[in-house]
Amino acid sequence: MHKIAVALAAAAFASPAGADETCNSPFMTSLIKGQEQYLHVWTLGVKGLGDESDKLVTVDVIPDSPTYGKVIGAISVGGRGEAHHMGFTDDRKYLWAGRLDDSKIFIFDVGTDPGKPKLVRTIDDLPEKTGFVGPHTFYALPGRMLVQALSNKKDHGGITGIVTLNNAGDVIATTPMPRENGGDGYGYDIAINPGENLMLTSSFTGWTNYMMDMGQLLGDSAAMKNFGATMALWDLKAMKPDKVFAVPGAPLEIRWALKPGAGWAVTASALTSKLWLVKQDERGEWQAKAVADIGDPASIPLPVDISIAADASSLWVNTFMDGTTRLFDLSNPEAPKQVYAKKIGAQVNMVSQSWDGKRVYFTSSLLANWDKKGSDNEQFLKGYSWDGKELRQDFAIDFTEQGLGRAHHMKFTARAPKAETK
Amino acid sequence: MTMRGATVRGALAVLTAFLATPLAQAARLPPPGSYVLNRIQPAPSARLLNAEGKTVELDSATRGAVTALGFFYGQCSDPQGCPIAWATFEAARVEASVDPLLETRLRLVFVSLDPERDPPSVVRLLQEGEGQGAIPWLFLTGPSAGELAPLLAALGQDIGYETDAAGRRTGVVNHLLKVFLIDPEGYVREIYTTAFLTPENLLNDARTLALAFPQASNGASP
Repeated sequence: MHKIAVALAAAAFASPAGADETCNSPFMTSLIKGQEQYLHVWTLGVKGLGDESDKLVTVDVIPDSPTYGKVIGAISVGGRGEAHHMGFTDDRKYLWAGRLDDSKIFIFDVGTDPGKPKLVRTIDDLPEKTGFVGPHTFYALPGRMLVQALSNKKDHGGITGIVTLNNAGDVIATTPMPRENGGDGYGYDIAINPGENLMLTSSFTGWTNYMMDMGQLLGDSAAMKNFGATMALWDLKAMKPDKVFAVPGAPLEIRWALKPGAGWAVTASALTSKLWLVKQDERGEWQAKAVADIGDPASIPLPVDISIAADASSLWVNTFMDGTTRLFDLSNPEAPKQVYAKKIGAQVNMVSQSWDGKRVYFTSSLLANWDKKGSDNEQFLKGYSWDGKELRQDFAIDFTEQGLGRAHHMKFTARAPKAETK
Repeated sequence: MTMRGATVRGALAVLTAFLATPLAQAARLPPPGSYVLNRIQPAPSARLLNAEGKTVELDSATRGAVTALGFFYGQCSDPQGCPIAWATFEAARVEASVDPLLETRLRLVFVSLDPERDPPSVVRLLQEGEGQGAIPWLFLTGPSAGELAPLLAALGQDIGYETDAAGRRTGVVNHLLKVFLIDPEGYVREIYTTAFLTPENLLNDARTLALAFPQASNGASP
């Protein structure tokens, strides 16, 4: 019996691991493949608005709920520290939320009652313990969290690294970004392909730049040189970079195609306004190549967040400057084609879609000092339905009018998500 | 159905299920010993029962060896659950038994998630059926679900006992598949879920720990 079993097991292959709602760590469990119930928005406090504090805002997105599309809770964490991105632990019970200015990490319990998150721990010594500043991406591994930092304590430039913490919040490893073989030492996003033991990272800029006023930054030619221009392909298990790709213009969010057997990833470069494909060539060598323009690169539309469909057939790409979301057909990832566009607001940054792609949510804020000024500084969460042809707005929340702040990263929860594994 | 018949069928359910269980595709892995497995957390101890019904401290069952610790329950048949762990352990055991680096250093431990339905009498069937190979494979169960709970919580091993409309347990234990690789000093060095659990991954990491702990011993004679 054992011999038969072993033979069968050795001969068989499983499909690659599924991922969460198209953009989270594939190591995360409890996928919400049906209707998300709550949407949590990591929100930057604004001086003179409401309690002025950064906060986690919870919105009811249950379609038949009397409070659908309404804010049902907000947890102020105190102060303004450039609230930015969030990520779930592998068990989806806790949501880690980072601030790029003071490098604090807030851990919210969203497992006990997702409709009422609770702040359970604050990590406030990341720079002292690691030398890194600006915790950006939170990417779950089993029992631990990879945190991609953007900067460093020494000079606040773009040289940085990855911190590994266990789920209790203890630092267990630090890994510098590659500075050899073409590496610039910068970091931004993390995306893992567990079936291939591969990790991809991208590169942005350091604290000095991301905390600078956008207008001042654009006029500072020296500062404009301090942006990432690389992606790195890592051996995940060894946490060692295997190869560095030249990807000029600050490659930001990375998404692996989730389709079984796909074996490719995409990113968008913010300053050069291009979609890049990371894929093996005919010799089996991993390469990164520009495969499409996003809008008119000469007008610097500034592509920001992207969201890939679960079947890797399409990709939402937001361009901040014109407040527009664009849908690219990825059926041939070597030649993506824009097939749809819609203006969401005066500015738009983050995009999150449900697993089935039927609901798409947008928020407005990029960075406190990079957001537009005056009446163009719209701050919102907007929910849309997507029928394959048209985005139709279901609700909108004006974060300024409601005294909340600048709406940034979004994450879904549900009260009883179906377990991935029994 | 007699009680013994039920327990035997339960114990064999997971064995039967794993026959049809596909394993995750082997990943491109670095050579053993060329990388470091970080100390993720101390492995918690717990008072458990062995096949004879005798008390066993979990850390005494893992200390000194390179240990792969997994959880199961006898009636588990979900192809994405225990059978994957079972098939992985089985394949790893076969390969490790002829690997000079692992044959005296690797130990396998399975702990039942369902002490009520998997008492020592059931564990004994598994121990007698599976625990006789060159690589020690120890089957344990908890004195009760309540006494098992702190161990599961400390390891982040979520479970839920499914109930029917009347509140009676159906026998299904909802759980997220996890396997823990523990070093001879008692630290969890890797945690595998369905996304990364293959015999190749497990053995590669076990060899890395065996190289780091040449004094490790599973108690078996070479």
